[in-house]
Amino acid sequence: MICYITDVLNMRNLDAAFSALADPTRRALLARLALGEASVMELAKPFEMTQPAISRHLKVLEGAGLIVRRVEGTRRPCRLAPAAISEIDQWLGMLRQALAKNYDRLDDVLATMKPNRRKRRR
Amino acid sequence: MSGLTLTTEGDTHIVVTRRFKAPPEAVYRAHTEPELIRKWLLGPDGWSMPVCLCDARPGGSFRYEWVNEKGNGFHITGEFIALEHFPLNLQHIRNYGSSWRIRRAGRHRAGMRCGSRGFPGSARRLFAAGL
Repeated sequence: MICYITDVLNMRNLDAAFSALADPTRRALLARLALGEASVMELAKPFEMTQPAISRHLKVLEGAGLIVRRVEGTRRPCRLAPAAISEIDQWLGMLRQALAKNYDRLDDVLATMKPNRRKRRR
Repeated sequence: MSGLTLTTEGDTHIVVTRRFKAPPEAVYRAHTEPELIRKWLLGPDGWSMPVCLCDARPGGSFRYEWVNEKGNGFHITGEFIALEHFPLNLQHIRNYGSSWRIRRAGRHRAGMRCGSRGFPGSARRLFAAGL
């Protein structure tokens, strides 16, 4: 049924991504990471949360492919994964385009209705 | 004409605003007459609307069925709650899940504000198809 989208994008990634985004703390973490790479300690600072709690949120974001982590000694700094973000963007863009397309077609329909209007007005 | 804008109101309400180079009466007809609706309310390329029933009066029902080139499809149904005519200036259509407000925006120009509150059960299908 949802055939159009599955042709274009991997829905399973999107399910995980939107489910990960459905939490205000995780969205705040992403917003912070949009400014650049950060360690768990740096990410935890603005929140009234323990580092393990933040780590659990990061694990969800990582599982959804929204962030990637690298190893640097004992630290595991996080950064945004542009591919996953752009996948969400593409999906939203597809919705916007389909909507725009409807109304572009409506412009054509309205253009063909003009003669009727003149007739009616006479 | 272009200039489609999308905004959100609250957590569940999407508002689409668009201008048209046509009088509000024509935009209204294009939203209520089946033979006109099925020409444009099609979403992404490759979809058509073989069934378009639209009994545009309060309490009247509508049924839109779409199929794509592969033969897959889905439908939505609903009921008109109110259709209000404010001659020449404002026309308003409200149905089960959404509402359209069509205004005059200059000579032979119409502006439309369309709000969608999500159709229980069919919202996912609707949005998934980009309609």
